[in-house]
Amino acid sequence: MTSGFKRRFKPFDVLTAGDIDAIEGGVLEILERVGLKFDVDQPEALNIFDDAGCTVDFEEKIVKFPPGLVQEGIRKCPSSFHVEARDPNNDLVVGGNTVYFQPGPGMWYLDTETMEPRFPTRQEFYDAVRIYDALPNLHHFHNNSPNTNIEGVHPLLSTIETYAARARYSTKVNYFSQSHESDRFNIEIAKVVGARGLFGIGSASPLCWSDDAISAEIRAVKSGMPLICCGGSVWGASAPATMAGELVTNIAESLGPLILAQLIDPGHPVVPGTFTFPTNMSTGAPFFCNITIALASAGFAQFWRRYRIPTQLIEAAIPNAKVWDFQSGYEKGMNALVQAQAGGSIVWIHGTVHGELTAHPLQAILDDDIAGMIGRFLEGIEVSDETLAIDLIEEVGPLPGFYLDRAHTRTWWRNEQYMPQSADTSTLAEWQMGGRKSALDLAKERMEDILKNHEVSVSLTSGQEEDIQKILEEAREFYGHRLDD
Amino acid sequence: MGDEKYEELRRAILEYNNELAVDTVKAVVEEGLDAHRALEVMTESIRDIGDRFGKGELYLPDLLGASGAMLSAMPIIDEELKKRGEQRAGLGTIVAGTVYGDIHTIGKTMVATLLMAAGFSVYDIGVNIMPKAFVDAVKNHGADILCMSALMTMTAPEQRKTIEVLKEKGMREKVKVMVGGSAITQEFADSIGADGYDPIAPGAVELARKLIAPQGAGE
Repeated sequence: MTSGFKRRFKPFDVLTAGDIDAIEGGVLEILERVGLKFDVDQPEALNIFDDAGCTVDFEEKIVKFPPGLVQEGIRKCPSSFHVEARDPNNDLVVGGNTVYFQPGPGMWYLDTETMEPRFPTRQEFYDAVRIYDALPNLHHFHNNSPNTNIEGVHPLLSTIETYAARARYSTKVNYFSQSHESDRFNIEIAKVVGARGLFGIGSASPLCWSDDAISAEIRAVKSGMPLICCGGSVWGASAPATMAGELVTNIAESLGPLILAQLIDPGHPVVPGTFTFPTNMSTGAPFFCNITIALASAGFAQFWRRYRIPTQLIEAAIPNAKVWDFQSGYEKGMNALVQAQAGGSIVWIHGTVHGELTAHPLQAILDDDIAGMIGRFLEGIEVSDETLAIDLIEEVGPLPGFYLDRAHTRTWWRNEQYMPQSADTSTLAEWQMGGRKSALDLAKERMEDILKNHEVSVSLTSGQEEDIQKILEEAREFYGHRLDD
Repeated sequence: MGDEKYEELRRAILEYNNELAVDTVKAVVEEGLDAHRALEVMTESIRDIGDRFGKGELYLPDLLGASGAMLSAMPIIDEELKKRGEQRAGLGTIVAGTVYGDIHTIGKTMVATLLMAAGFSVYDIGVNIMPKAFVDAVKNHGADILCMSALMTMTAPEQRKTIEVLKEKGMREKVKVMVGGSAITQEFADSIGADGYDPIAPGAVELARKLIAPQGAGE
């Protein structure tokens, strides 16, 4: 079973207990007085809420929640749960003090010759999946990773085709999402390969969930897939410009599908998530990787820690940088470090070059070092008789005492240090004599090495391959003439 | 007397005061002052805000605040012009919206406001717009340009569908089509037969000017 990283120390707080009480009071008030819009085509979700005692306006599709029902829904959520991967060594146990890192999505691949975005070819996509499979600090996939699209594949089929590729070229857990009913087929692929996926849905802020999301949630919950529900607001545009106000709307939004899941399947695993950004008031785009995101998402994680419910914090994987440069490193590193320390259970970081628009496996290799460094930081300082080394310190004594030749050093140094895989750690002289290679040069070498040598731990059987092809064919039939657009 | 009202209207736009804008335009109409001049003053004010936005002195909340004040007063102007059997004066008429299945609003609103600031008569018909609704709006407003935004690869094909409906209705030659949004590229715009694309919102203004210019103008 994959371990992720264990946080050895208490997560830090950015809010007081009184702040949390005030936010919770605001959330309950909004859910009771304003409610959430469920813009569904079929009344199933509205009927479920109605039966549970919510006030439902079937015309406007607005559901108002009594505070007791909200609190009951929260109480029923498990504090941790197991997700089976195709290879049990890559299983996840989400919750507690474990932190997992996952990649973000990139609509396009980045052409390394021209640095222009374009769709990846099938081979480039498959290679990228194999590279992600090889990275030790990338614990599971996103449904649109490494890229959302593949050249020549219709967008309606891309979520299904890309999952089929990830199922073939990796054994790590996958993440599904709402997308034009693609979940119908991805859930079937998961069954064929003997895995479960994390199922993510996003709100249509403010205070609204689309039919696509809620229909997919109902199917996913009934299929036993753990649910991740993310508020998707942009502060100052689809949420208040203030972080406290944004926390109220984001938490209120995530509670809608959380309660629905508990009403359908009491005890169903649910992870509230953040997908929120300030508005860049010059461009109108989200202000990716603004440090206030780290602050707000730390507050979000702290809120849910009160109820021991795991959280997903994604924004470190959505940088403003356009290339793998200094800005990219500090944007991703600072945000992910804060989110992991603040108690986030799933932190996104790998692969994305800019926003959700471009992604490349070279970036994922660079990011894997950031994830590894943060993971080592989380694992903290082990204090025991062995690590205190009092006897050894006495034995070595003052100068000319020396530790490098000691068995204790040989035993412990690897546990204590983090060894980057692609960062340049040479001395200045070595660097000058060794071709003056940058971290990017070293990442390219690592990428070539992975492509040459990495084998997926468990291959699909021919029967599984055939079944996946049948599912892809069914998907083509399902979408029919819509694939002509 | 009239000048005072126009200056009050200018202040209403520059201070993002919807109520004052509505009251002032009502007074302009009731006092028999020039509705065209009122529209001109509002457009000048929006242009001022737009210029300062372009220089980085003001930000989107300012741009939207000013356009909100102008839009709140526009129905009164339109009603008055309709009574007189007149039309808005301007560089041309534009219908703008975000395509069906897509509820992203910011980019579309930025483009609509900047076009308004540049002197175009803009009808922003919102988000999640079906192809037929776009085409109906083009017809109803006699639009010279249709602007469509799409932020997702899933929703980008709606732009193609709308162009197809324009063709079916025999209206394609009467209106220029501009497309934009994160999911759109020049290549995609060309493939669906759009007349223009620009990757950034301010680029829409120059593009619209070019599209609407008489053929051969400036050559």
